[in-house]
Amino acid sequence: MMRFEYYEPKSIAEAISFANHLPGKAKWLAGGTELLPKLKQRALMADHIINLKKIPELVGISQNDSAIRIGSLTTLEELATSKLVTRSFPALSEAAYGVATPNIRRAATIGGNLCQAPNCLYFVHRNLWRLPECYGAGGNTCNAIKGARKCTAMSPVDTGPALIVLGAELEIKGSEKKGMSLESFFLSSGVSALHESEIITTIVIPDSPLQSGLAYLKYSRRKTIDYAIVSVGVRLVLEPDRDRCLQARVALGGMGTIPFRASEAEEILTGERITAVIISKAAEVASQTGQPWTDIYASNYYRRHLAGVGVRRAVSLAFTRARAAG
Amino acid sequence: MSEESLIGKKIPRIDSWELVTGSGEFSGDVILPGMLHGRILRSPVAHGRILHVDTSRAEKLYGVRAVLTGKDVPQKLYGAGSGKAPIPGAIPDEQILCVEKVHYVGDPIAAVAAIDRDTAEEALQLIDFEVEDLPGVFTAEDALKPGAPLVHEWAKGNIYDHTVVLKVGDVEKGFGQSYYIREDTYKTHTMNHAFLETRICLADYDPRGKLTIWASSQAPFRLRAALAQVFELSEKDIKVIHPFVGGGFGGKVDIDHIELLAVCLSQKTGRPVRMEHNRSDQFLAARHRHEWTIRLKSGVKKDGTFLARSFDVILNGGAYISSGFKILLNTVGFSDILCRTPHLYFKGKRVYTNRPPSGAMRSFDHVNLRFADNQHIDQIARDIEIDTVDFLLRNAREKGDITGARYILRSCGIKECIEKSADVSGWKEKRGRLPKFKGIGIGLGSHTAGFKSGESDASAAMVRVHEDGSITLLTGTEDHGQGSRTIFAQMVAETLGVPLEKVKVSVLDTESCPPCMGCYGSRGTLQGGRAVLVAAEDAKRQIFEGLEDLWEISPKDLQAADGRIFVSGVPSKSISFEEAVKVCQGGGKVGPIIGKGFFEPSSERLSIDDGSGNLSLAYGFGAQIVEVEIDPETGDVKILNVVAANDCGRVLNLLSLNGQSEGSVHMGISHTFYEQVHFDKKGRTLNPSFLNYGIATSLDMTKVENIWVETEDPEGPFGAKGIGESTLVPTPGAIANAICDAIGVRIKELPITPEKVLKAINEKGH
Amino acid sequence: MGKQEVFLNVNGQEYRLYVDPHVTLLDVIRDEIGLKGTKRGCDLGECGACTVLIDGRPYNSCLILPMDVQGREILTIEGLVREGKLHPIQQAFIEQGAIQCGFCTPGAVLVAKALLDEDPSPSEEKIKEALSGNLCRCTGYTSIVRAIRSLTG
Repeated sequence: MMRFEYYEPKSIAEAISFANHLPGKAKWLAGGTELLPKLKQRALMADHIINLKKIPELVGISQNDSAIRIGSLTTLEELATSKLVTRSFPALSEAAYGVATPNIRRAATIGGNLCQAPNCLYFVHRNLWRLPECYGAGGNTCNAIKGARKCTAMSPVDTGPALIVLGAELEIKGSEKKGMSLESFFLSSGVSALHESEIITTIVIPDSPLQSGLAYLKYSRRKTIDYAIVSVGVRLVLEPDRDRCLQARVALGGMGTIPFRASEAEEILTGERITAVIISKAAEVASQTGQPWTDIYASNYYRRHLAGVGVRRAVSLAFTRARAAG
Repeated sequence: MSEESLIGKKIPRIDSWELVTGSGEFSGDVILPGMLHGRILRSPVAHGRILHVDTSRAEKLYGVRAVLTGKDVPQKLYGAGSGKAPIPGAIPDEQILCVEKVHYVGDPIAAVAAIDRDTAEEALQLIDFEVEDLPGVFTAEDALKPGAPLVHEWAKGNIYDHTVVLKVGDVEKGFGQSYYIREDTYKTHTMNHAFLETRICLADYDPRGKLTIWASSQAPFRLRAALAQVFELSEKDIKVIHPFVGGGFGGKVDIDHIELLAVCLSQKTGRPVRMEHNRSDQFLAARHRHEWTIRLKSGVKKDGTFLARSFDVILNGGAYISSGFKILLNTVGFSDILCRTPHLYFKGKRVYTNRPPSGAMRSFDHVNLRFADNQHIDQIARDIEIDTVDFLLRNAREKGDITGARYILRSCGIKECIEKSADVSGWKEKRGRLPKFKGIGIGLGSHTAGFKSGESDASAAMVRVHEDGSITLLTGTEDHGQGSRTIFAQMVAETLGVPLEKVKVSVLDTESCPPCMGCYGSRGTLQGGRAVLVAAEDAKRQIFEGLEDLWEISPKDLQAADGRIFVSGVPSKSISFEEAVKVCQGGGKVGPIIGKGFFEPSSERLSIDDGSGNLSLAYGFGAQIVEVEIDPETGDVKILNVVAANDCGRVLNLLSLNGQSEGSVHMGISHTFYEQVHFDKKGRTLNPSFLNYGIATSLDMTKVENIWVETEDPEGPFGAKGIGESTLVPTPGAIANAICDAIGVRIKELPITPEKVLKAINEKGH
Repeated sequence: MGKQEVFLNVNGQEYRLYVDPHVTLLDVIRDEIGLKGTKRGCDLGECGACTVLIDGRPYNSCLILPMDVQGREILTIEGLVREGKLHPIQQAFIEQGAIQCGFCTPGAVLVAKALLDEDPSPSEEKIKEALSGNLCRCTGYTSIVRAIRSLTG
């Protein structure tokens, strides 16, 4: 691995102070499950590493009367097994559980997961071929697709769809920015609205209405290790004692450079009595959204197909859970 | 045989303690004081002319001790056949470091030795170089087009040497007489061995011209011979040490450029040099499984008996020949090894492209041929409305058959394998009766249990009986995880009638151990085992002769069993093994008891023209039946059950055999669904990592019911044959046949991804 | 920045080491402390061969910086043998034929230990999930799962 200097701040303020003194040269170290391999592959560079793991305010899951607050350095394993999360937001624990492998989940953090670089093979392995820095690396070309004007790699944030349908908000320290919705956090694959000396401190998940149901599905090549080809998050809020949908949120991952809400599909479901026909219609519409690309894992056609299947199954599951709730 | 017989039982491996405690030494665990670490700069371009390489910045980096380019190393070409066991067609065509041209993305351009890995890696970044991009070819199709750029100037048409053709009988006549004829084309993509321990070595060159090298290799004696040839050293001055090896699967048989460069760097620096492939190197620049296009045409009688079969194969072998031609020649014989074929035509080419070189990989790609052929046969059976199992039984080979390429099947249990697997899996009840999207399929396989590559397929062993009655076996046949150490120890213990704990197998090094070609082609059990038996019998004879005076009994009236030597039929007249040894060695009667064994099989080299010749004394066979369930919305395939019936000749160690079968089946599942090395249009390996190159995980683990058929091969030690590869060969074909049974459409390409299954379902109109 | 002083507790023993910040726990265990049982399969956290237990839980040591695990209890494969006797998990691996080339074995054994310490009677599904980040190319996982199951209550 490349040499770097290492800092272990004890507080958020100290961490930000370090970052401000090392503009352009420092990277945050959270779980290390992305940064360290990518440093070894020279896909990411850093002269200075600032380890966030010794800052107590960044860990922990707590609940107040309107939301669950998750420290950004909470590991994916903690998220997957926390009783608070599995009870209130099973889709989130399922999403966290679906990432990578047990050893990785034990170290990887939710904050780090949100900030991942894309699993674009040209981005990851560009040093092997001495390729120029691509958009994802801060350069001005794309090595994967000739003539591309921007990065079109699929978002690697498999927890994204679950967090989006839960209406997750991020609390940020390091600038005047206090917080933002998760949706506005994602700008492009591996690119977020976070500036380099800003830290996500907390992910806040407001309580879901009583009669709501959540679902998360991940389609991947193997049942472990692999990133999602397509992932789907759904939250349906039903009218009490009725099958009519008050609010629908449908989010897709692997269908674009960021996880996004399939708003046209949501509109089809909202205000309607949920039936198999309506669900199919929404799924069909969802499959036509986004800009999935073709890579070694799947063609864009198959991604669209999986999105359709996934939305149909996830909405059905969320519907069943919503009916059982409340 | 005594009740205490070790043969056929579940015997844990004798090297388990070392491996389960982590104390067993692998090549990467060896440290020598002052050792340096090597790294290699590799070409980013597939076909190119090296314009310049400037190492000055790298040389100045603190901690760098040497930087070598093409002009600094021996210019002699090398290859898989370097040394004294020439592999048919393995001409030396590789350079230690490329001088003028590079031939694939990953071809070595420069090498660095530094005080640690990170410094060496950093040094690579400081080497300035320019390679002029030349037009390259990457698919066999493109390489064979007239006027295509040549990978090597001397390989006209990008074909290695010549097209191999075998003719048996008259296929046109056979097709003319056929009731039904079918033609199919199949394709399989490049795969990687993906063993957990990458290739690694530690070379210590002594200025007197002596070399010691620890290497993760399947063929230590071949490595020694190759090093001697390339560096013009004498073999007696080279010691190859074979510590524990973390898997091979055929990928550690060839000499690798890391071994050559470690020696060069050690020569240059006067220090020991450790050189390894990191995981991306292992995917990029080490050997692969070939990419195959397989065209099959078969003609059958109305009852399903084969009349004529025609095979036309093209192997995309990448930039160097490795053992690619040998694979092609072997495939000739594989073509009709399972089914009787009166008229046979085989044609094959090994093609050069600007991809990383392909070489041997588990089963010598027989698994690819059978992926195609098992499906082709299944379809013919369906087309003429005969049950596939009945069809196979009608055509299957039997003991005593001689195939078109003149393989002699002294034992052949394929019919029993088919019958037993059909019985246990409930084939008759299930085939054609399963609900939609569920299916059952059968696949057959076979492989050699030996491999006469050059003039010799020999093995040698020594059994040393110590003064206290303990025994050390020295064998040149290596163990890279397949368990040969334990099997050999069992054979020695069985022969000398002593408990297994008394037998130790010494670490293999080329100075202490007698030679062997290496472990590949599943040759270990038979060739290695026969040599071990000869050595053990020799030691026993020496002990018996030493007892002649004691009892005035001829050695032929003595037996060894249960830790004792006794007079046949008079168990009371016995002496413990330890006592017997003391008697023999005391008074200088016999002196040190050292049994020696050598075994050269009476098999044949393959003809370079048509691949004919009985290259192995025995062949393993197997049949697998697989049940699957398909998700019609996603194309996902779930394996429900696997029944694997294998003819192993004789069960020596049931624990080992079951382990080989389970490992093979899961590698087969992995090959079927996940494995493909992807290349882009410029020949770059896109997925050189465990993340992006998928191998099966524990979540793919499926139940395997193992059935062992014992045909007691007359040549096998205790009747046993090697089966490390024949257990893999049936799997992808069996799975593909089950998928076809489930959805009514065939996927004719490996890997079978859910996307391909879905496409097939949609085309069929489900 | 030069080497940093790091205190590591490995297999119950204290080590005071001076390491460069970019050297991973895997490298420190193998090269500084000299325990070779923890293996490098890929160095990128993708295969599990480098698994060690930290406070009883499995991690990929190739992705851990030593400074991060000061004061924690690190267990490598060498720490399982007590007074010359194998741990029951090691014994089970041997008896069930769960070791072929042996390279993935240390990682798999430690994952098994962590699992059984937490849940003495895991289902087969749970065993497979616990092993899902430990790649094995030789055994097909069957004998490894069988070995772990042989120890369940």
